[in-house]
Amino acid sequence: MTKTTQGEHLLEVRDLRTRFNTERGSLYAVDGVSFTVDSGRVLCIVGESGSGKSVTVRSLLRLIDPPGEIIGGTAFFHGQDLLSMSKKQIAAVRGDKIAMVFQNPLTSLNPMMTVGDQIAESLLLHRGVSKAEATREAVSLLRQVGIAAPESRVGDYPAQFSGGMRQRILIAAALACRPEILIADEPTTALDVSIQAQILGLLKKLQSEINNALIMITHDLGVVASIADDVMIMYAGRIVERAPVREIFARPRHPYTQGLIYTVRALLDPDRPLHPIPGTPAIPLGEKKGCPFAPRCGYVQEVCRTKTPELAPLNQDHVVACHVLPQGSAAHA
Amino acid sequence: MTNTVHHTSVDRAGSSARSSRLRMLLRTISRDRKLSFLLICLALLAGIAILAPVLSPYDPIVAVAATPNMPVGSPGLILGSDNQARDILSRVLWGARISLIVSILPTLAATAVSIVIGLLAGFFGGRIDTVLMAVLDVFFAFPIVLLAIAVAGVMGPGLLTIIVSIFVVLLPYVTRVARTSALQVVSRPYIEAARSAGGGQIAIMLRYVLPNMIGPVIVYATTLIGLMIVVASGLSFLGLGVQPPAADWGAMIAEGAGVLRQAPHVTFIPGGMIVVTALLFNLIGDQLRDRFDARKAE
Repeated sequence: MTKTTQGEHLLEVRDLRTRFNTERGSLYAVDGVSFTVDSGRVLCIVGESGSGKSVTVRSLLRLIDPPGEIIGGTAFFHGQDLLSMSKKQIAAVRGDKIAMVFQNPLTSLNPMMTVGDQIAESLLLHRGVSKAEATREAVSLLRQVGIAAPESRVGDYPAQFSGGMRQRILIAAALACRPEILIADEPTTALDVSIQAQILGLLKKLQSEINNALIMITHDLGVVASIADDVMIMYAGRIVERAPVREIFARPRHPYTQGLIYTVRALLDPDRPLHPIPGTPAIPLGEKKGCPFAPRCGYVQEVCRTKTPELAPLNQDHVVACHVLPQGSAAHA
Repeated sequence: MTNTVHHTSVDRAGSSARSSRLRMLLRTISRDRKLSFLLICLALLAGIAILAPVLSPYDPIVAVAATPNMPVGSPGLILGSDNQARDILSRVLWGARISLIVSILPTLAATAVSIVIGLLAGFFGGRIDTVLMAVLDVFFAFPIVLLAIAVAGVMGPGLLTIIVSIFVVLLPYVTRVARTSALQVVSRPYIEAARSAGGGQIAIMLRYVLPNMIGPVIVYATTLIGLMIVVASGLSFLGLGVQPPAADWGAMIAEGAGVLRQAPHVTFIPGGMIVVTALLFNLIGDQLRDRFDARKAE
C-alpha cells in the first residue's frame, strides 16, 4: 500500500511557515515544514524544546496568537486549506474534525466547570445535540477512557480527580466528536512514569478503535518506539528527517537523529560511553545561512555552512535533509 | 432496560451538578469555622441595620433625654444621650443602615462594573485594553474628598453624593485587579484547550474566563468595603453625606467632636462601630483570600 500519491492523504501540509515577531527580530519557529498525515496511523513529531513541534500543530488549528503569525504554506484537509479558511470555518473544524490533547492535565481543564460539561462542550458546539444527550455521551466517553463509576463522576469538578485521571478526561473531551485527527502535545510529559504507559496505551487503543490519525508530539524516544508508525524529527523549525519508525531506529541518517538515538542507547547500556550532542539548540532567529545543525555536527563540511540542505528522499518512505548523509558512525556507535 | 436505567441516573447526575456547586460552597464555608463565625457576625450586623425601626427604643432624631451628654448606663438610655439629648443607641442602630448602604452599595456597583471592564480589557487586549485602561487612569487621578466635594457641588450633599463619589473612586482600583485577574486566566492552558475544541470568543469569555477571574476581585472588594466604611464616615464627618438630623456613624462622630472632652462616649461609640465593622469586612476578605488560594493550590 503506497501512500505517496498526492490527494490521497487525510492532511497534506506544505511549506508551513510560522514566525514570531520578537524585540530581537523575527523568530522562524516553523520554517518551511511539509508533511502528510494518514488515517489509521500514528505520526510522532520529535524534537527538543524550541524545535517548533508545538507551533507546527498549533498552526494547523490556527491557535497562534500575536506576536506569532503564520506567514506561509498550505494545509489541505478534505480539499480545504486550513490556513486560509475563515475564522468561523476553522472554529467548526476545531474539536470536531481535528481535536487536541494538551500537555498539562492539571491546568488544561476549567476548574469551575464539571468534567461532564467540559466533555459535552464540543458535542453541544458541533453536533447540536441536547444537553441530556451530550451528558449521556459524556458518561459513555468517561467509561471508554477508564474512569470508574462514570455516572456518579460526570458531575464532579476537575479538582476531584488525579492528574492521570484528568488526562483521561481531556482525552475523552478530545474524542467526543470522533475527530479524524487527534493531536496530542506531549500528553504524558507531566505524568508519573507508571501513568504515562497507561495513557499511551489508552491513546493507542482508542486510535485503533476509531481508526483516525494520531499526531503525537514528544521528545521521548521511548514513547516513539512504543506508539509511532511514522516519525518526523524537527530541529530549529525544520524537518531534518522523516521515516517509518523501524527505519528511523535502524537506519537514522541525519547526524541529529543519530545523536538522539545513540544518546538514548548509551543511557540504556552502561557499558556504552555517553556521547551527548555538543552545543545548545539553535535559535532560528533572523536570516540564516546553511544547515542549522552545522555548528553542532561532527560531520560538518564547507557546503553545510553555506547552503541549507533540502529534504530529499533516500527511498520511498525515508527523507532526510543533510548534505553528508553519514551512515551511523564509529564515534557514536 | 439497561438503557433506561442508564438514562435516569445520568439525568439525575446532570441536574444535581448544578445544585452541587452551591452545596459545595456551603460545605466549604461551614467547614471553615473562622469564616462561619465572621459571616454570622456580618449577618447580625445586617440584621441590626434592617431591624433598626423595631429594635431602637426611641426615635433617633428626637431629644428624649432629660439632659444632653448623659453617660453610658443612664436609666432608660443604655448608651447615654448625645449632645442634643437624643438616644445614642437608637442613633447607632439607625446609623448602621446608612453606613452599611453607603459603603456596600457603591463597592458592589464598582465591582460589577469593574468585572465587566476588566474582563473585556483582559480578554481582548490590544487597543480595547489600552483605551479602557487609559480612561481609568484619568479617574485614578481624582482625590476622593475633592471628587466628593465636586459631586456635592453638582448634586448637593446627601446619600447619593457619597455613593457616587465612592463608586467613581473605587472603579479604577477594582478594575486594575479585575483586568490582571482576567489576564492571568486568559493565559491558562484550559483557555487554549477550549479554543482548540472550537469554542467561540464570547462563550470562552463568559464560561471559562469570567468564573475563574472573579475570585480575587471579590476578595479585594470585600476588603475595600471595610475601608469604604471609614471613607464614607469621613465624608459624612465633613458634612457631605446625609444631612442632620438623620445621621450615619461618621456624622455622629462629627457631632460628638464638639463635646469630646465632657462626653467622649458620644464620639467613641459610633467610632467603635466603624472600627468593628471595617475590621469585620477585612477579616472576611482575608479569610476568603485564604480559601481561594487553597483552592488554587489544589
